[in-house]
Amino acid sequence: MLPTVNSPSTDPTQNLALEERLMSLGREVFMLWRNRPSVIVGRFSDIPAEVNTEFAEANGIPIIRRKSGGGCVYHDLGNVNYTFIVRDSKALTLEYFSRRVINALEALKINAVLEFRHNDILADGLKISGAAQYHHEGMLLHHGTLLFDADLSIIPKVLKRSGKVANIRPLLSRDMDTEEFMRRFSASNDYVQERSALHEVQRMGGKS
Amino acid sequence: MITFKKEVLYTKSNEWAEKVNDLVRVGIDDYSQASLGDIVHVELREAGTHVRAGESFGEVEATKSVSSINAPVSGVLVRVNESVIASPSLVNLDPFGDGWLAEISPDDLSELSALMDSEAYKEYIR
Repeated sequence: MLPTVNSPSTDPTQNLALEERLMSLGREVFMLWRNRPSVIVGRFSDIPAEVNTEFAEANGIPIIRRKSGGGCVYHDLGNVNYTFIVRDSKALTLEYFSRRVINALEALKINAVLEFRHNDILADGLKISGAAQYHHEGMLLHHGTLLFDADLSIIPKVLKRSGKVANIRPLLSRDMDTEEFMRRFSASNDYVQERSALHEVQRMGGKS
Repeated sequence: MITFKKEVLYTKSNEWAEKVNDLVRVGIDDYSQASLGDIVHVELREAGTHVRAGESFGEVEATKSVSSINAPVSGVLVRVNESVIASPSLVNLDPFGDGWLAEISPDDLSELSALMDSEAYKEYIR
């Protein structure tokens, strides 16, 4: 299993900086983290076109750019973020990780499906999770959101383009709080262990 | 079907490099563009910047995925391809031709000898 980093911070700038620092160290890790209310925008997002900056400013919601691709998302403490930082390989597509996340959600009896166009994860046709990647100097950062118990009413106010989204918590057959969900979701980390083990076998086989 | 251009050299990070007069023209290869998918944004460092071999000189975004592009040789970025910045899909359509990214004036042309030819590269990505 990858070492797990549970970020103690809810400061979005600090958490994004922590991801980048871990990536620059070249160490493989799994990270779970939450941000206090903030808008996190993609590497090339057009902020004035995608974010209601007046609303964000009036409500003290910072707008912060990440290294990965994709669009703008709203975070608060009811949204759980996960990050895989691993040595890059072409097999580690967005879909590869989305499948792992779906498996982890299915273990919690959530009927999650992959939407192929954007690699979003949907439940009952509504987006519950999105992901993005950043490939740099042989390392891959794959991170994603899990809307668990977020204030969804803010999203159409702060984002100019927002799709239909839902929280995971009301879909659970047995209720749990966000902290318990984070502990249970860590199970998705197991699948990377399989991948690492497989690579090890292939590498040894290839060299002999 | 992935195309391998014989006249260029390849890096381990899937860029190609071709000597054009005194310059080294650089792009991403067909294998790389095919695995990235539709490229929607290209950003390159400004002409005049000095880059080291293996160092990032730009980024491309395919759907939700940003990838750094590394310089195959050290030198000064003398020209970036404005066409791919305006039309990123050129990288998908013609990665070895109109989809080239930049030209580098190399510090030391012998750095090219560290790169792979198309046969070695085919083996490398197999």
